[in-house]
Parts: sequence; structure tokens; C-alpha cells
Amino acid sequence: MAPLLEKILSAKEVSPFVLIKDTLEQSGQLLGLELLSASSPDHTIVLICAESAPSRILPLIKGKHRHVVVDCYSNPLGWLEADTPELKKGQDGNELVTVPLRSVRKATKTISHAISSQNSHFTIYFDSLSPFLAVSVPDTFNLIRSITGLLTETSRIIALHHEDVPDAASFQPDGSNPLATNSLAHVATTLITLKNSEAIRQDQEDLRKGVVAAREFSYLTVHGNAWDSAVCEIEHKRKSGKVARETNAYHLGAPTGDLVVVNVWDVVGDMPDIDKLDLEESQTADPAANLSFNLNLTEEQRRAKNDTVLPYLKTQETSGAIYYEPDAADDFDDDDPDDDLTI
Amino acid sequence: MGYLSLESHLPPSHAPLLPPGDYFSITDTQASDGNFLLHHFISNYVKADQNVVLVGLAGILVHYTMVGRKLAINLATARTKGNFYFVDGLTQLTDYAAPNKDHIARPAEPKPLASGPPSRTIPAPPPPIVLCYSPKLADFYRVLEDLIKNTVSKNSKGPTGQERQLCLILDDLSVLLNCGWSCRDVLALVRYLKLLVSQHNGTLITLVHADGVMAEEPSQDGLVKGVLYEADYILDVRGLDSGGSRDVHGQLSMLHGPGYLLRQRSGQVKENEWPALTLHYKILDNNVEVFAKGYSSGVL
Repeated sequence: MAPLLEKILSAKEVSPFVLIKDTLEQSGQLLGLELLSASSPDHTIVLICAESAPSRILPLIKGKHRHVVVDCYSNPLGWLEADTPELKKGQDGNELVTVPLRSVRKATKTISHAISSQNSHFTIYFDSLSPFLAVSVPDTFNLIRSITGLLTETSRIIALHHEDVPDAASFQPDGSNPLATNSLAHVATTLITLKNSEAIRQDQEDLRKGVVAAREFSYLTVHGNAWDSAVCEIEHKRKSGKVARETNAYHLGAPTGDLVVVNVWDVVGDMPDIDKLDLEESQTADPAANLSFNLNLTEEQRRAKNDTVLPYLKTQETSGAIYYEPDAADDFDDDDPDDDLTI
Repeated sequence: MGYLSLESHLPPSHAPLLPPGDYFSITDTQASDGNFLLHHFISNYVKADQNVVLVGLAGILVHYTMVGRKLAINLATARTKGNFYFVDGLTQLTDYAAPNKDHIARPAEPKPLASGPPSRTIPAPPPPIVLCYSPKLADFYRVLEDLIKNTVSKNSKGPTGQERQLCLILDDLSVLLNCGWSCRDVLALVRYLKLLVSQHNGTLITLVHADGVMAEEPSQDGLVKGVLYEADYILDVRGLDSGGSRDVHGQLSMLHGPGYLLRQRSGQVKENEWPALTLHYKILDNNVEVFAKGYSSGVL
């Protein structure tokens, strides 16, 4: 059976909102752009850049789609003179609009306008939701809601979210707000969590050895953001309400090569399951081996043993019941017998 | 030349300078200050007769001049020549340094006595230049923008006629956070400076503290992560995992951030230009030795 990730990539599985959760250690941008490139050629791609320059992302989108770029990158707080928030034709045929990210509400207006002015089907790509969440969490959810309202049958939202970057709610002292990561996971129909394959390999090594190596704190390690592979944990909600969970991985032969979906053990080796390890251990130490007498049964003996009806073993035919007739001398005590215990 | 042994590990495309248009981020910890790396870049750029704008938020000019002297560069001449510019952000960033009118030495009033030579009036010291009076970080950006445009327009061409490169260094971003600006503002400043500098054939270098203990504070955590997401190249300086040593002062890691991954994907960087690896370093009196792990001269 084809891996779930491949089905989502080839759009065999319908998923209107794909959320890619990544960390500093393993960026999900590569996978996100691959998903975006796989969208059908008659779709218009609405690219919302808040973290990387559009000039850096555009060359990575394969295919001959029409592009509409919403640039929230180059003027994040409106310190430079802002253009009018209207779509303009660029030199390369793409339409471009620059929006400051000082207020998500204003950006929402521009983005929804940019989307609703498109006649064809579209795929929306957020290069990261984190800059939006850093401004305001509720407004970002409103943005997502207003966009999902514009979705047609075949349209799709692909969004990246860095789960390790603090959002606006985490700056507030009261911790009563729900984590944006969890709430986003509820809204999305497919959640792909990226993990660094080297980190998983090390975890497995620890598991095998039974000791966890102490690691110094660091934001990023030398194994971070390896180009060749990453592990993807996928949680996909089908329309029927069934949830499919699978762990896949992707592999690249060269930094600019094609992305191939593979099984996770091809990348990190076999997952050592603790139960399986225990089982292996018990299997290797077979107590019945190397005995001077025979403890095993032949098939005929086993059948005979199972068929034997043992004495005192009668099948009960009626269900049991308790009959109790109170005696005149019975002394009912309503007090709680455990009253003296402080339970 | 800065530190010779470090040079071979930096991107070779424009050596000894850094590739223009890119953003180098240095992260360090309390145990090991990353400031020594800045001296390497300053001395390389000044020696190659390129433009350097240094924003001293943690260090004063005297510090950089003294270290420069150790590395055989003269920052004072570079300043008079106009291709080294020092912005004193340590004492003049906000209006806490603004002259309080009551305390300025007033010129002595002429004495009513007409006889005798006129008394010498003490000239008032010039009031310190304050970079931005306003509490907005945007104004600090405008100051830097004007300055960079000025520097570039005056010294855009090198002696051989080719366009000069620019290097903008902010020697401590964490200070801005401690001065009361929000993480979002500081990150925006970095973004604007990065875009500004890349328009002027320049490289942005910043230093930020990335200690584990400070990661619990959302604003510090957000700043470091934001910077690492923005950066094209990441240099991480930290103490040895195993503690201190006489021959190894700490470790220096070249790291791949998410931005590097994208550039690699689009084929903008060669595979071995910036391999992710960890090196050890030792700071000497007028040099820094960088060597592979376990190759300390004290061990071999």
C-alpha cells in the first residue's frame, strides 16, 4: 500500500487544509513547497509570504501555475512607505501585493480580497503562520476561518506552523489560553509533524542502550535541517470522520533532486519497539531448550489434552442468583461501617 | 587578515569577505562570548578597504580600537577615511543620555567688572548625540538607514573602481530587548536592516545571546528563534559540554537554519560551502585558533 504521505501529495486523499508543524531543528518548508507544486496546473497559487522573501520561495514552486503573491515579508511593521493594498501585475506576470503585518485584521481584508478576486480554483500557501500568531492569536484564527469560507470543492490551504516559536498569547502572564498549536491541529484536516531523522536515530540508539545521553541545551544542532531526509508523522482526517495515522519519511538524492516518499524505516532504521525488544529477549531465552527430557507435545497429544473433561468441571447452565430472606432477629445497621476511617 | 584558521571555514565565494546580501547570525552564551568573531569580520573588511558600519550596543569604540590594534588594523585611520563608522548605541541609544538642561555646564556669565582682561569662558561640552529620542525602534532604523546611505554614497567605489561591499554589524541584539523594545520590534528591525543592507551590496552580522536559562522567557526565546529563522548562515559559540579546559576555550558550530535549507534546495549554495560541523577554538593574545575537535595543540 502506498504511504499516506504519497496519497496526500498526489491529491488522492482529499484534504482541504494541510497543516505542517515543524521546528527550528527540522524545517517543513521543503515538504510544503512540494505539496504546493503538486497542486493541479489549473489552480492559481496564492502565496502568502510572512517569513521568507517571495523571491526565495517562487523559484521553488514547480509547475506552470499562475501566482498571486501576498508579501507580508518586506514591510512587516509598516516602517517603509506602504503601497496601496491592491494587486499589481509584476514583471514576471505574477500579481503582487505588499501588506504590513502590524494588524492581522487589515491583512485579512487584503488577503481575502486577493483570493476572492480569482476566478479559477486556487491553492493557498502560508510560508508560516507563526508571524501571524505572534501578532494576535484570535485574529489569525479569524483569518483562517474567513479563508476557509472562500474555499471551493477542490481548493486547498497549505500552511506551515513553527510549534516552537512563541505566539502572542505566550507573552501574556496568564496561561489560561489554549495553545495555538493544538487549536490549529483541530482546524486542519491533515496534520503533518516534521521530525529530524538524525534526532530519531539518536533516540533509538538511546532506547537500545537503555540509557539516555545527556545533551546540552542548544537551539539548533549540527544535524538540524538536513537536506536529505526527514520523518513525517501524519494525522489525516477523512471526510467520513475516520482518522488515519501513519509515520512516513521523505528522502532526497541530491539537494535539488526529487522528493521521494519512503517508509520511515528506510530512513531511520527499524523502530525498536519496547514490547518487541522484551519479546525478543524472552524468545532468545527459551526455557524448554536443551533439556534431557521432552516438555513439548505432539499435535495429537495436544488435541487429546484439550478434549479431556476434567472432574469437578461442570458447566453452569443457569445464571446465578442470591435469595435473601431477612430474619426477624436481623439487625440492620444504616451507619457507614467505614465512618471512623478518614477516607 | 583576521583569524587565519577560521577563514577556511567561512563561505569561500567572496573570501576574505562574506557573500553580499546574506545575513550572518552569531549566537553565544554567557560562558563563552562570541564577540571575538566580530573582530575577525571587522578586521577583514577594514583591511580589504570596504565599508563597515558597527553599531556598538554592548561594546564601546575604545574596545574595538584596542582589539583592532592587536589585530594590526587601525580603526582610527579607517574612521577618518570614512569607511569605518561607529554608532555608539551603548551610551546614546535612547534619551537617557539626553542632556538634562539643569546639568549642562553653562558658559560663565561675563563679570560686571569692566576692568582687567575678559575672563575666559569655559566652552560647554557638546551635548551627546542621541540616536533616537523617540521610544520607537523605527526611528533608530531611520538613523541607521541615513547613515548607511550616506556611507555608501560617499565611498561606493573602491580604489580599483569596483563597487565596495558593506558590512553592518550589530554587536548585541539582546540589549535592545533589555532596553524595553518588544521581541517583534527587534525582529522587524533585523528584517528591515537585512533588506536595506542587501540593497547596498552588503552583509548583516548580528550577535544574540542564546543561553538555555533564558529560553524560558518568551521574549528572549522568540528573539533567538526569530533570528535563527531569518539567518542565512548561523555561527554558534558555546562552552565545552564537558566544562572548561586550558587549551580549548569553547566550541564553534556552523549550523544550517531553515533559511539555508531553502537556499540549498534552490541550488544557490554549493554542497560543501558551509558544511554543518562543530569546531573548537582557543583565544590567544592576538589571534584565535580554530581547529577540528580533538586537534588542540595542547593534546597533540
